[in-house]
Amino acid sequence: MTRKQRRFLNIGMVGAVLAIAATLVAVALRDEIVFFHFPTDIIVEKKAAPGQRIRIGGLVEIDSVVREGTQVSFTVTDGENSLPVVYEGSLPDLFEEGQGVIAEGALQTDLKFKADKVLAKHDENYIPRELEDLLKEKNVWQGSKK
Amino acid sequence: MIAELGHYALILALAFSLVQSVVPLVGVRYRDASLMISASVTAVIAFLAVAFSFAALTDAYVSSDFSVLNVWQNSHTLKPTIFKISGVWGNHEGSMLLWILVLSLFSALVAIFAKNLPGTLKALVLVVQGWLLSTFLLFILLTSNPFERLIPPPLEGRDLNPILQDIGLAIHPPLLYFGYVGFSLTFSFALAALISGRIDGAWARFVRPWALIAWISLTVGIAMGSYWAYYELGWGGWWFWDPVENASFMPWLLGTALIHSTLVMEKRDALKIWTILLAILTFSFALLGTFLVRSGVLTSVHSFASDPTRGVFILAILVVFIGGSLALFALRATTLKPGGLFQSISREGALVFNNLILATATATVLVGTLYPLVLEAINGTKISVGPPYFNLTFGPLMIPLLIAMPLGPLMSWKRSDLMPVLARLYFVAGLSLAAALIVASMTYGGPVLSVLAVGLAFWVMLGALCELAERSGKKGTPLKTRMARLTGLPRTVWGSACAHFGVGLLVLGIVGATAFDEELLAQLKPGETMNAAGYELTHEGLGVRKGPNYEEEVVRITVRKNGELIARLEPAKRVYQARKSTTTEAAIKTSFLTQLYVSPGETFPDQSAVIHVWWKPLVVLIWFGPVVMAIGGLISFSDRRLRVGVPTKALKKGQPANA
Amino acid sequence: MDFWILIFLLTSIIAAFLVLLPVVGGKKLNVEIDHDKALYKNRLLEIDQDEKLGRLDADEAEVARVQEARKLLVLGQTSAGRFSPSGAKFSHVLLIASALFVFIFTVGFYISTATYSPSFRSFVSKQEPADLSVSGLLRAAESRLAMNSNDVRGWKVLAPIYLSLGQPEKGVAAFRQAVALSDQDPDLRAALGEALVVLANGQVSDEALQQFQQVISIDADNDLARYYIGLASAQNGQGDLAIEAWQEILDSKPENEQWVSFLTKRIASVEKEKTLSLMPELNNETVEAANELDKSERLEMINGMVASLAERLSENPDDMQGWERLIRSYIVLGRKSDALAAIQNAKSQFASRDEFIAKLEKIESELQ
Repeated sequence: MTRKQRRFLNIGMVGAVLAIAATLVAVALRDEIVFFHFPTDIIVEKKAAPGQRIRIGGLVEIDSVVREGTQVSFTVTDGENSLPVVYEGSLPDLFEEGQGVIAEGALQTDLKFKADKVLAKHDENYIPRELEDLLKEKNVWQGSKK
Repeated sequence: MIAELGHYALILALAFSLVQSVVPLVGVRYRDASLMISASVTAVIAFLAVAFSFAALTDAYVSSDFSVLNVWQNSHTLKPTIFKISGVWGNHEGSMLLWILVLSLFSALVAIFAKNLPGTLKALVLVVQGWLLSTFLLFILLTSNPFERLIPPPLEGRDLNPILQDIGLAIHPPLLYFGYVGFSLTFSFALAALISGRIDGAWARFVRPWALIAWISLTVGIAMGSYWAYYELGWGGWWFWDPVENASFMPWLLGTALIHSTLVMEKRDALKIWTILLAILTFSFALLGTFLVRSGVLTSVHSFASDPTRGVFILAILVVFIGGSLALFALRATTLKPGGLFQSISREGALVFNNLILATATATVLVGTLYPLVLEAINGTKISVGPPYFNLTFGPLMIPLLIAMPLGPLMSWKRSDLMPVLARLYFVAGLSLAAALIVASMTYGGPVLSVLAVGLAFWVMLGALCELAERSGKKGTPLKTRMARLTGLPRTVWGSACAHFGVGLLVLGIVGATAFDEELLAQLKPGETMNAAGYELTHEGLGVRKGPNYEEEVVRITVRKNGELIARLEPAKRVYQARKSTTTEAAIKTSFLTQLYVSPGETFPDQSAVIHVWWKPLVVLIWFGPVVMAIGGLISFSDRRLRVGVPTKALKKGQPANA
Repeated sequence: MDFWILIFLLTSIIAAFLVLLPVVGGKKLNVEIDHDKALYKNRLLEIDQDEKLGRLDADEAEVARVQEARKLLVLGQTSAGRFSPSGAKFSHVLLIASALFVFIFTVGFYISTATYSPSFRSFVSKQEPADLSVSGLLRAAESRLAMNSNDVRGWKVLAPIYLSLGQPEKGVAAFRQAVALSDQDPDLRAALGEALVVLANGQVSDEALQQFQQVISIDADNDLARYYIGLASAQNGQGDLAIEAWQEILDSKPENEQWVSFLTKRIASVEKEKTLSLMPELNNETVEAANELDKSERLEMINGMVASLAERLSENPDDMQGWERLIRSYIVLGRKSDALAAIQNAKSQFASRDEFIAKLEKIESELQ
């Protein structure tokens, strides 16, 4: 192998690795990301199709949490519209009525949201940024007390 | 008055580090020894001052001095002493102070222990450390003073976030900071080299021990953080690919690349430009890691804006240091002489491959971490990038890396052939395949990919052992000679074999815990039993327990296997009085490498409780693997030759050419 | 001047002089500043060590040393004479300047940024040394607030101190500030109401009552406001309303045990007062007059008053409270039959008022 060929081979290998990585990233960013919606987006604007994996967020409506055995159902509201959510599993410690919540899962055909992951705020000052935007917009929430 | 003295000591440290930023530089310019030496003096004094300041804050915490605002915000008289101390760094101001303490400690260590460093290089390294230290001291003094007073003092503090009141979190941040800040030295060495224009194999030798310390701390720190998240968050997950984790993982990936590339530079005087760039990038990512997370950019754009001075200051620091160092690099890199040549199939080639993969992997993690931010900034779409993205991008990149791992150390420097190396690994390949087949037959119908991953894990582990065996002698060498040769091997060889073995353990743990685990959720009345993964779990009733600053509701569970009592578990929901917040305390039964993880859910008036059970085979390896890796790092670090420098190979006629 | 200011100054001076250490010890440290020479020395040391450990034999070591020396010579030729060493004087001046800088910078920075250090402040501004007594701290806090009057926390902290120091006017003013700044924080408003009560010597004034009612409109569960609204009723002679209000607080199961026992006591005492006040109204004059009478005369006087109440009710029967008071008075006086008769009367008078009837029946059943 001449020096030139060797050099070509080296650059080729580096290029190949980078190309593969770039392709993977592109595919993953197309297929594996999860969009975030508020109940209004789903109910009024029909932004999510049933079965599509999405995240929804809002406040847990007061008096909406019902526990039946291992299953929990509650309603997530953004101040305008509410979406019923069913979830099987243990809720995070900071899950509370009247507090912010994010649920990941998919919409069912009956317009109920089946969640397989529920995230609550990390601490009393932290609220997921997607939520904060909306709640401020709609004046539901007064900003983190610090 | 101690708090005032602490504040004052910080200012004193700032004054010294400002002197350190300028005076030795003048010394280097005019070749004046006493000016250069002043860098060592100022570095040590600045460290002592910062250490005093840190002690002052710790004292305020331990004595619950609520006239200090920071203490009032994050402490409580009822808190156990250990958490009063860890509360010091459980908040923004205190953690910044810890960061600075570690930074000044590393400067002082260089000043005191790096005796064989050429005077100019040492002075320049300390100058750059001075720049870093003064910037961060200014930051803390102007925007995050931990000694701010609160008059009149309240009687009781607001307590530390209960989720942070845990022994894991008492040790985890200091270790992580040791790692992050340790890479500040590689950064300073890189800048010093660029300023002086002297970059050679000796430089790599001086940098390597510091890079190793940083890498070891970061490895253990990340593993500990993962274990903490695992048992404290109560979800049974050990890695979430969330921005905070990624922020610590990216410097680790680059740091791993760095300790490999310094090897090439040290031994072969090659890859100089790349290594310098890596040293700069590693610390840049560490900076991004600490400060973007601290400032909240990664979790929330808005908490950044909530304190504009702090955010702008941080942004300015990042721009100046990362941008400045990269600009200097661009300016000076072209003047560096390229080093030794090598063929693609060689030890150097393998290490370059390692660097290529690790750097690319870092890039994919970076894209996944920042993409949501960028997308929202561009068109307001809100998305989240979760594990599926990383499994698809990061995962496949690791496969060639793991395959190549046993090959690299068996190749010779400069030029090598693939066939003889492969020939030496036939046995290893066969054993790995056998292991994969055994697992496949045991878990018939299980996921195929996982079975392959098990094979890969064995390939890496056995490959590491094979390297040691190969180095002990050719076929037919008597055992005694082999043992003698093994003990005579350089510790770096032992170190790398150990670290690689650790990687294999880690992979095995990941596969076991993710592909072969079992999860079960049930509501049990007292006396009822559920079956999970061959265990019988019985709900024996609820109870209430009182801790120093919390009260907890305990679910008593007995675990039996074939009717025989194995363990009594008491997972609990804890309520911390001061903040009225709840945490979940999972109970874990470890049997060798496998864990049974029990997390309590809702309890009902009829005394029944929801119980969430995971059975995670080999999960312990996920944390034991990194520990073995870190031990490998320590062995490598303890190599005398690493710190003193090895005579060039050409001189060692008649010596076996061991690395 | 406090002793710790001395400490500050001393540490600065000593620390500043530490910068000068290289001037003293620089030559002794014998640091090799030349890059290549330093590396050369390192390698020679290693060769020595390798020879000692038997990794190299004597000949090889010698060859290695010569090679290293040759390399150094080559490098030395290229790098020699690039810089001219400066004189010792230059470095000494620079280091002394650094020491001065450390001293001035530290003291200057501290004075300009220290958030709280009364003694140091007073030392700097040549004022009387601040005292750390309560009133001294109060003054310090006041002056801080004077500079930044938008500091809710400051007002919040200050107000209760004024109250405890017996300066309710200032306390009320401070709470007013805090309420205005805090954007309708109900807790703060309740505290303001309480301060108003303190100011009015324990009477719930109209303004205080307004404040509490405003609190309730935002936060219906505010215990403090509920308590004082109850107290206001009690002070207006509507002991029942007060007890009702407080009982409600108790029913909501407050966690604070002291609060619970306080409320229970208050309820008990109002109950007692109520029975007392159910006695015909006794103003100061009648009490004085009663005191002067002996027991039988006193009883007669009371009986007379009860009789006048009964008379008043027969003319104007539409007074529910009056009836209740009359009945209780009969009971206290031991006139059971009169009490029962009054109950019957009252019952017929208020047949449509179920609540009242129930109450009367309860009393009736207690009597029998």
